[in-house]
Amino acid sequence: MSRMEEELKQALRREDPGPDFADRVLARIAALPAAAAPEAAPETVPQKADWWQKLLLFFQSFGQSFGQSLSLTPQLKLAMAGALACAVLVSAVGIQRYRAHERALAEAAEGQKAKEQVMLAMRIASAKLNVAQKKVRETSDRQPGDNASER
Amino acid sequence: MQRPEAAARAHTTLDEALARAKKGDQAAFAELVRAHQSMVFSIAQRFMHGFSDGRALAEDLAQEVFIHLYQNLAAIESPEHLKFWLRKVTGHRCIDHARRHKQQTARQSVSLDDAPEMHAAFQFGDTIMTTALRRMIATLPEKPRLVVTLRYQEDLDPTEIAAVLDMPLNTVKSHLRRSLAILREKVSRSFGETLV
Repeated sequence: MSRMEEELKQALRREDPGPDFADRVLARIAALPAAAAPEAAPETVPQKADWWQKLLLFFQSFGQSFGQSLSLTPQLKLAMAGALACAVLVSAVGIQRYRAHERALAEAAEGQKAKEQVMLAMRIASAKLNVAQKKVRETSDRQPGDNASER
Repeated sequence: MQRPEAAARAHTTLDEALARAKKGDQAAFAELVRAHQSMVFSIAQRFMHGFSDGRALAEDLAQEVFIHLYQNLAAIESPEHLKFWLRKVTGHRCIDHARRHKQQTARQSVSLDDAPEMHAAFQFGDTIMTTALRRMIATLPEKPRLVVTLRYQEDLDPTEIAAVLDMPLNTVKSHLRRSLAILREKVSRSFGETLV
């Protein structure tokens, strides 16, 4: 190390801010608003946690207690992995079937709605046709003489 | 220099203090503050040297760094990480502070060119030399000043400084080289002696 560097080390040696420094920091922390306080580690279920967070915590705590009470052999681990894979597969198939069922129901509902609309249209057309027919009949009943003079 | 057993004991103590502080133990947090206060305060102190109320500013900045630490304790993984985090946050806060008060700094800092020339002979550990060097370091631009402080106060090598300041290694080396050249030249001008 050069002399210059030694001089720099000497000039830049650490200084202590004083024995009460930590107390002053703690006093400033105590004066902080509650919102500025640190977030505690989530050891318990937070009150406003979402349902999936609660579920996750439940499974975590279940897994911890399960792991402590059982010594997990490789066979057991394999079986658990297999069971988990089966559960995932069954869930996936179930979800897909449920969605297909939902889709079929929606399509049936739409078909029914279209059928009702067609029926309504036909009823309207029929009513209008009846009105037109009635008017034609009235017109022809009112002018019988005209027809006779023409002959 | 700490002996390996003493260093290991100190590390364990800090590890425990960190774990307790994370659980909300204020006494453990105070322990962490006491263990690192001289490091954080001195980095800030070196940086604020050019300010008229440098010591008060340095103490205020150091307190803010520890308050920020208190709010982010959950993110600290180990005593080494804590040290790294404190240096990084202190460095960045110093630079931010200096930028905010750049005009004020320029007005208030002691320019070596305006300072009376000192031709007194000096010896190693001379307080005149020490004081002069601190003033000279305070005239360096912000980043080189911080690099020099981390190199010679904290004894960090350039790679560590680059990590702390998020700076390319070559930039750190170049700041160090240029700063040393500037300081040598100023010492030579002030003391009429060349430090190698």
